[in-house]
Amino acid sequence: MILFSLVVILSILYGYIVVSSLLAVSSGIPGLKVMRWGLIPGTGVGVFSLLSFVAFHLFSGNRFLFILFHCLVAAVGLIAFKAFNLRKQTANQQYDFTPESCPKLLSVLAGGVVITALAAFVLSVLTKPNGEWDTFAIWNLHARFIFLSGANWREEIHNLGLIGVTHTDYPLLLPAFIAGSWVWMGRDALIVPAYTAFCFTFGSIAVLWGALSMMRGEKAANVAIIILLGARLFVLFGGWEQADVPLGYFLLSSLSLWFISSTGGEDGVNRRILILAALELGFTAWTKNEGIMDALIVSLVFAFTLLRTEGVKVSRVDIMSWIYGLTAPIGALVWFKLTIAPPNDIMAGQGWHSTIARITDIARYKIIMVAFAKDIIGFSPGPRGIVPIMAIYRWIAGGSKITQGSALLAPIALIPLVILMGDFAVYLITPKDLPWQLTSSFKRLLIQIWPSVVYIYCLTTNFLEKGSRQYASAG
Amino acid sequence: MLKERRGQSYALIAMLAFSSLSIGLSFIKACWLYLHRPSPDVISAIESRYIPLKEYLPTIGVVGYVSDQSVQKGVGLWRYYIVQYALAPVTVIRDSSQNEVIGDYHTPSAMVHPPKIPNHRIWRVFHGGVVLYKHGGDP
Repeated sequence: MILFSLVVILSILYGYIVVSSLLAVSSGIPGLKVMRWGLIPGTGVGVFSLLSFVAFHLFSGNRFLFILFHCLVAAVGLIAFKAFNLRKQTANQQYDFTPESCPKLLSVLAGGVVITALAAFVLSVLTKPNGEWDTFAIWNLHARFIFLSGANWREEIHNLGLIGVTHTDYPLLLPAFIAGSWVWMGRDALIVPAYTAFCFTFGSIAVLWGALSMMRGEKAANVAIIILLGARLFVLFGGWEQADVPLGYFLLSSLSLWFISSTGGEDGVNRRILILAALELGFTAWTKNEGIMDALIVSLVFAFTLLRTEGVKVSRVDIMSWIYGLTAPIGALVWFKLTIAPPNDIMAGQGWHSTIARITDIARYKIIMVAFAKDIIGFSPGPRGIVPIMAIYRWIAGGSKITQGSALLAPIALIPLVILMGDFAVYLITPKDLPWQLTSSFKRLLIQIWPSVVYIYCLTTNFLEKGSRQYASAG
Repeated sequence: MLKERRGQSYALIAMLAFSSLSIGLSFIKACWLYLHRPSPDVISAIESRYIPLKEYLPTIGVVGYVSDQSVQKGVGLWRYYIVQYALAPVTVIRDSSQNEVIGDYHTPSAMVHPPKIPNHRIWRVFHGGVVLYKHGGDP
């Protein structure tokens, strides 16, 4: 337990250094603090994972050197953080808010919903300590291979590709974090995957609440977390330690940080926030193959929006900030794909004639559209369909005007739709049995975009507020 | 204006009530699953059957796997993945031509008299229908 606590402290320290250096804003706004503390543990898991991936390459099989490497990196990071006074350097930026009161009943309801979700999460973890299918057949299995194979982990992960659908080409954010933690602990304890599940499930809630609280006030933020958790699959998937929840967390973090960076304030501070947004986006690609497509789509929308609104000269600096943020996770991803991962099963199953045949098969379009409509409308089984209710409410209540950053609303709102179109295209060309693939994966794809969809919905929907907030810089 | 605002309020209350009910049902489902969970959980129970087998397997490498259930889909495939999870970092492939092959049997007759595999002999028989075959003739 002591060693596990050390792992938690170390990963939180990594997250704290990175988030506090890049989201270097001081203010009295509770939303910013909550968002920062929502970002720290998840970002810490991502950074720990990247460093462990490097350490496995350099020192696999040598526990002492592995731990020493982490300690040295943490020490250097901490010294640099203190020496350059990274946080205080930009602490002069203030956001001028006039807090709007939130009905007490709504705050109590939101609190009650979060506590209920926490209880459901804990019970899910206790019921299935090894998680669901993907958890033991992909993420924890890969982590065991890395941890138990010692110096041969690359060859053994490659061998594992022989067994079929364990997706050894999937990136290593979760396996590298879990295996790295196990190296510290000296055993493959199930508390580590449960901890990551907690960080991402409840980190998503904190990031969503914080980001919306800053932009729209506590009323919209409370409504958002109630809607987020209203999709029952979100907490269940979190408790079953599925990777779709971390992917959704990183996508939400990236989009919300990008939006915050565009809503005024000092350029230097905003560029750092952009670096953090891109880092979180890079972690989506380092989590799962679907995240690679998400990262590509968001980056293209980002570049296009910037060039259109700010011109080439200004855009260049912001695009460079974005590239800085992406560098570490995308670098690790490319390294992994080129040196370890077997070919992707969907891509390996493509051929000129077979792909054309699938694209021109009208029946496939119909099957995919029916599945999309069914799962989107019926999202959240049980009392079916939170999505139609959200649409009806939006139709009745209308949209809410945001005073600044509104130029970004349309591009950001477009992103989940473009991601769904990308998913549609992948289903269209998949060489696997289409109905089986849709049944086994589409709900998980919806979970990946669900926090971002709720964020965008609550950012733009009127919740009977008196007015929207101003966002300004005192720096 | 007031009437419109009241309509919006009702719609918001309905949406929040729906979402709260949904998470409440998640909690009830999680409670039900927790109260009716097997102890130990299914994966840990299957894993524990394979612990004695580990000392007869190579520490890394590839071994074969056969079963009297279909290992291509359904429960058979699910069990196969749990066996793979239990025996990591040894790679377990659905094939009987490897040097060591694991037999995973569930029908009473196969558990008592494990079937033969071409070019392999039964090397060890473990509790619960788990058999280890070794390439080669009778010892």
